[in-house]
Amino acid sequence: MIRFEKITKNYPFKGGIYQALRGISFEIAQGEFVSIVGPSGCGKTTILNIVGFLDVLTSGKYFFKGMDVSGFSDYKRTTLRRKEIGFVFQSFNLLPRLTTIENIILPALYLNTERKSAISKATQLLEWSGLKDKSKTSVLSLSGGEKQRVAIARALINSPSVLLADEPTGNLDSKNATEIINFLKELNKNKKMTILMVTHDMSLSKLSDRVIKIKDGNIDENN
Amino acid sequence: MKTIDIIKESINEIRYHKVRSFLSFFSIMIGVIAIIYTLTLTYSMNYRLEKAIELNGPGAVSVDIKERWESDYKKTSLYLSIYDAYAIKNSFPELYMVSPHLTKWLEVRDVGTKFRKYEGVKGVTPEWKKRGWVYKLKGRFLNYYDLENKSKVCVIIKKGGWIKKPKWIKFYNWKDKFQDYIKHNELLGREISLGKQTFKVIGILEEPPQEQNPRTFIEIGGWQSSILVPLTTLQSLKEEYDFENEKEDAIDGINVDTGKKETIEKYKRMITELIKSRKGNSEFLTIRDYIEITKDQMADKKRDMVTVIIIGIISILAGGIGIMNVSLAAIYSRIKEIGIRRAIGASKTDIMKQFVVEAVILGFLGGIFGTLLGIIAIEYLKSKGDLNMIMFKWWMPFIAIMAAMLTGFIASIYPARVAANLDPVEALKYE
Repeated sequence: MIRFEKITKNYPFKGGIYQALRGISFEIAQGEFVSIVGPSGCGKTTILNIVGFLDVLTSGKYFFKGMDVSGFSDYKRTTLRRKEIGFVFQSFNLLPRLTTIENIILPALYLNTERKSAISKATQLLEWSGLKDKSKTSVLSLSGGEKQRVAIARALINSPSVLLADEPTGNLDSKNATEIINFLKELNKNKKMTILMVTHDMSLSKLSDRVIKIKDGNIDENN
Repeated sequence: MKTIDIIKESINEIRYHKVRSFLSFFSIMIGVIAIIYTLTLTYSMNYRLEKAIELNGPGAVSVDIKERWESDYKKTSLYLSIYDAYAIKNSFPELYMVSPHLTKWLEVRDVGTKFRKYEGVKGVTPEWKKRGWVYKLKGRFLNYYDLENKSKVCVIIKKGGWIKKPKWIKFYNWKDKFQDYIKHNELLGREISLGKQTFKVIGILEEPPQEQNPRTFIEIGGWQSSILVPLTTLQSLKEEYDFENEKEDAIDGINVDTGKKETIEKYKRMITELIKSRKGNSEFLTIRDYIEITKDQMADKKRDMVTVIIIGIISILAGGIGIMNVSLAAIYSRIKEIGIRRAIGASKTDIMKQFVVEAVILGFLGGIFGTLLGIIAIEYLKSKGDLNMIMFKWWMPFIAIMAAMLTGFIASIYPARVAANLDPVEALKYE
């Protein structure tokens, strides 16, 4: 499903170059739940951004569903991101001026889905996430756990093949964190969704099928 | 994203940032008011020019004496005579109109009443009625029999008055005593004295009301005589001191219509040549066409119009800069949002569209409010007697609104590009 071959990512930094990724290679099969762990600044989020077509690699090759997407233009990457990728962030990243349902349907609208059918799909997702009665509520009035469930619903609206979660429990208490992880596990188990989760919490990473440890832009462990 | 969804999103944004949005469309609104006023004025000017040319004849030419206001000119050998007019007519029979004219100031008295007043009496031929005819005729007009027989008959022009008197008239309340008299006294068929002679009133020319009278509206000709008599009759009147030694056949000028705009220059030249061959000199003449005269009359108005156009352009530019400024400021307050939108599937074009649509909607709102205020201002100016404002047309607001939307569009392109080109990864990190 996802294959990285000797991928590097450099950033210009104070007149020099900062190497965020130093030629990493790994593979993720369809339906796998993989955690990426490592200390802050080791390149975890950079991997997630490249996998999610938000960022471009400096060198190496990235294969997605067998297709070499390394040199794809911004437009092609956006199209792929819309259809294939769902993002879940640590700080939820919901749009504060919109209601719960308006936040959820937004990716569907970018995919040119009819508003009516987007709302119908979003309603199902809200029901699944236990937030049906909060569809017209402003996201500002939701609790942290509820916000993350809305963010997951938003990530799932276009039925992506990969869910990318960047520290999804980082801003939650342990009860809500467990709930969100259970959500992700359920998605992976029942819907066979490929999940790539970045976390610094080793106990959470143990819940996934495989853990990739990153250190200084290199893979330290992959099992 | 579908356009309708982008519009909904943009309306949300505008509602959320009420003050920012208000400031943007307020400046656009001022520009739109200026545009509507300018359009009305421009349309009115062009309409006046066209109508003036149409009314006077597209090929209208005025043949006058340069020193016309010097009282002695009719006593020298260099003067225009009725025979010059006949010569023009005979030499160029294809001319649509050759209308000689002469004005004398005479005391007008209504026989059998105490009414008396000095009035300018104009001597004309039946050709006079070929151009500038806006009247309703009661009785009959002067004919060639009157001209040949120097008949003592006259036609009176009755001014139209107002359907609804403008308020400014109250501050400028000059009354034409003669017009006031004929308004209340039916003179058709009656006898009046012009100087020492008695004339029969054979016709009344009723002007349309001021609001509907193109002659008033287009402000042509300036002062208009209220009494018309056969030219030959007026020439034969020799009873005042000033008229002594005056050539009997002298006239003030000749109005000519070549029939076509294209032939004006040709006939101006040919008439000059003809008069030169008859008088040995044509330096005493001034031949001007009406397009030239009307344009001169419009020159002042045009200067006003240019000022208003400049104010309009500046206002709408200020509005555009306002929108650009607000949009740029909005980008910096929405960097994170732009990052989120890009992460969940928005393309660069989607981001651009959103900023552009927001600005165009602001322009549209400014256009609508500006139009409403503009119409109120125009109605007010109309009630104050600004005749230009009568020419307001309902298509003008559409142009103004389109201009406002276009301003919004142009002003938003740069900020929208800036927003679309933000790096989504950096934007997501922004707090």
